[in-house]
Amino acid sequence: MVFSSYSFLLIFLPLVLMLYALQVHDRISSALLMRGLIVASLTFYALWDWHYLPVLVASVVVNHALGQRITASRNRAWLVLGVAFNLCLLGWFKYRLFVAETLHRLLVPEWAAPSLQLVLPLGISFFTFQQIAWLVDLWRRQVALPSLTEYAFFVTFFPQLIAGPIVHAREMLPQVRYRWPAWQLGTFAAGLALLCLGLAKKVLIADPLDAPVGELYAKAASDAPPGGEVPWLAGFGYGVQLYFDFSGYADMAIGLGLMLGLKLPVNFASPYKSRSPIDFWRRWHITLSHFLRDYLYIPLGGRRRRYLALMLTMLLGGLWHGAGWQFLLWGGLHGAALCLAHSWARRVGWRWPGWLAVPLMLGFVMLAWIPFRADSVDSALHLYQALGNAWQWRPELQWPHQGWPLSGLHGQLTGMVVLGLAIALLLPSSQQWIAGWRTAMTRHDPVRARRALVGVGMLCGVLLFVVLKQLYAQPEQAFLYFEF
Amino acid sequence: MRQHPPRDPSPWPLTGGITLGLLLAGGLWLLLLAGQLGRPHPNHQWVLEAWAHKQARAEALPAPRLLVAGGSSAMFGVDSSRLEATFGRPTVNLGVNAGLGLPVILHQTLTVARAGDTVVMPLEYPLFGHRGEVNQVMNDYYLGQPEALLQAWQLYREALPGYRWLPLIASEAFQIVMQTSPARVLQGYRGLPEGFRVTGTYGAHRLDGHGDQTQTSREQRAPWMRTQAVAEAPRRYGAEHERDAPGWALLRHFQARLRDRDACLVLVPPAFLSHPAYREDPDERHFYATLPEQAARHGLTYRGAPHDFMYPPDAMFDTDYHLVDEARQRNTRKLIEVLTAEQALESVVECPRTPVEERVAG
Repeated sequence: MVFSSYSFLLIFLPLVLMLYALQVHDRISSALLMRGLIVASLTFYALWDWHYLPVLVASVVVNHALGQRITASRNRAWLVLGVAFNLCLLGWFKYRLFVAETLHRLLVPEWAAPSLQLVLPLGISFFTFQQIAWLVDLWRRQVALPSLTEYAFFVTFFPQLIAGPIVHAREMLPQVRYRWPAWQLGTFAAGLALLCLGLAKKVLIADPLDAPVGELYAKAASDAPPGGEVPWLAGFGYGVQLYFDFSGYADMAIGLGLMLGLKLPVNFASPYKSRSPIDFWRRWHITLSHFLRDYLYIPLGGRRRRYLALMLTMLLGGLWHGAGWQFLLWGGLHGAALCLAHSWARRVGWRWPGWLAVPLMLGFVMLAWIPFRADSVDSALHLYQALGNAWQWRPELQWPHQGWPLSGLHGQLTGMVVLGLAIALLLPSSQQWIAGWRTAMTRHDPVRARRALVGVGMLCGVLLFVVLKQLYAQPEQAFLYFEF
Repeated sequence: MRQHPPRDPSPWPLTGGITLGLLLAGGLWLLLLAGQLGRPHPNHQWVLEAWAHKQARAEALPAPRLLVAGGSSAMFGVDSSRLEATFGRPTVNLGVNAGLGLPVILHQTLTVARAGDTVVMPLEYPLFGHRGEVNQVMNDYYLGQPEALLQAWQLYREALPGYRWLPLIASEAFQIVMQTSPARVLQGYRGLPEGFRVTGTYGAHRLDGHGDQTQTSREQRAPWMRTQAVAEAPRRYGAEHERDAPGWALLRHFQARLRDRDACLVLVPPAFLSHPAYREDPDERHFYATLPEQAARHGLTYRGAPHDFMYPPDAMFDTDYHLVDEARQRNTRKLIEVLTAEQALESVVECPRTPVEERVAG
């Protein structure tokens, strides 16, 4: 089940909200609400593929038990065991095929390639990282040991279970322990508006890009030489698709959290308006950036070994996204860019003007998405090689259509990319919209608050109609980050 | 002075706003949809031209005639001139496109049928189970020919007992509103491109004087056509069929309307690509084996056994319902055999009542 589906919007969510409403009207206790939401979250997970529900449940139980040992004994070995357990779980499900194939190619290429089947439990990259962060926070005494129920709620809470944001226990658990849920209509309405905005981003912008972008990358995997416009379309096309898909998901997750009285951390802050690689990683997948900084970059040496720590962090960050050399390439590109940016800041110090920095950064980030989306390093390099065709308008290089390079598929894709970029670059972020509306809806002036509520309600109604109509005719599409 | 936190406002402004937003968006969409109803669209121009060609042929013929009705399986699979020669009856092939749905096919045939006509109907299998699902072809067609939708709904009202027609009509209306894309609406407003002509495999330009499809020999079949024809996974008509689907009521009503004007209906199997699943899968085998019996229970005449009209891959032209010309001859021969088996065609024309029909009439 995905958020952008009839079953979630018309069945699952109303049932969850009814449960929530029972608590708001004091018909049930907060403890019962919490248990109900755990059951709902596990059901949400199982509806995707119930075979991996035991993996999630076992992960929660084992991690909590290890947390108890850490708190009781203060023995570092338990922390090491906990981190190793989570990494081994992730490694087994996500990386064993990659490791086997790599070892095969390096050591015994004459043997038949391994034929392992790889099926990834949904959200495993997220809930293992979340629990690693919790174990380390527990060791550092930044968070107290919660009950198993509270802990299970923290890990499995359905809005963030599958694809983040990566939430810290120290952010979430204090909210549920004190006066939760503290019902406020303005907060609920802001959450609903964010959910609708996120739905619109995914269903109306990201999903229609899937087929044309997929076709471009599929053809890149073949031997046909691509035309000069293809790598740009491939990079920008996927960059726009990924941004609206993932930030749309984050908006929905945060919106659902608000509707249930919980504040989840922001994950995107208009990343395509970034002026530098450093700026980009403060705006893109913010919770992952913070995780990598707090639990990888700093332990690896931080500023003392800046460039080495940065490169290693970004390489591992790339690998976290997918078990393939192309993800390492992507991570390496960003690592190199970050090292260059830090070096520039230290040695030169001159700040690039915005009108130059933003387009340069945008171009770099978009072209760097190519290996992220390509199915192999070879496909990615095949596309990068086509950059050299940019100034050659030889007809035989205009692929897949002869003649006018922006006809057909390319014309359609260009239009969608331009629209997506206009929204991403010219409009405020959804968080900024919501902050403004929330202020208006919680004003002391009841007349203005009512007007704001009507306005936000109308926006939600319009977006819901458009999204439900679009979903009616198209098959359910998973979020891109579900693959990670 | 201490400021007290504002009291939580009533939820009604939010609820009212959401309702207003839904109505606004829905109303605007309906307006946009309505504004382009009846505008021509490239996708179904070939259907309109093919139908006009066949209708003109039918109008020009004296009754009693043999009308071959149905979808494109009839158009590709029947040699009407051979039927005409065998039975001595002017024959026209009215088959166009099963994708238009059962109501459209039945209504179109009723506009042509006259006293004394025999309607031979090699009806595609999913049409028996018609239950108001609007596919893309129907959606496009109804937007361009809204009167066809109203005629279909009228047929439901006449054919279905009580108020059974109401959920069917509501469902079809909902489907059309929800599944029509903005791009389709835009195309509707644009209309036909300047200089548009129907070209390609389908259309009046590919029909002979009897309304049969032409240029369908194996020689004229491109390799991709054969690949396309056999690439379909086996259909699951048996598993999907509902015994009391509205399609049966529509066919009964259709037969009754024909009888009112002294015309007659004979259902026969359509030409169809054979697949092992149609004999090995229990649901599918049962469906095809008992279809004539099911038709008889509804008071309909069904001649021939569906399995006998299934053909190997090399007999197909470009879909699993379209025969190449060489196979069309074989199919027509089988049709003639089933129409003349047991009794002469004249007896079929007299539409003898079956025992079931007599009980119903009684």
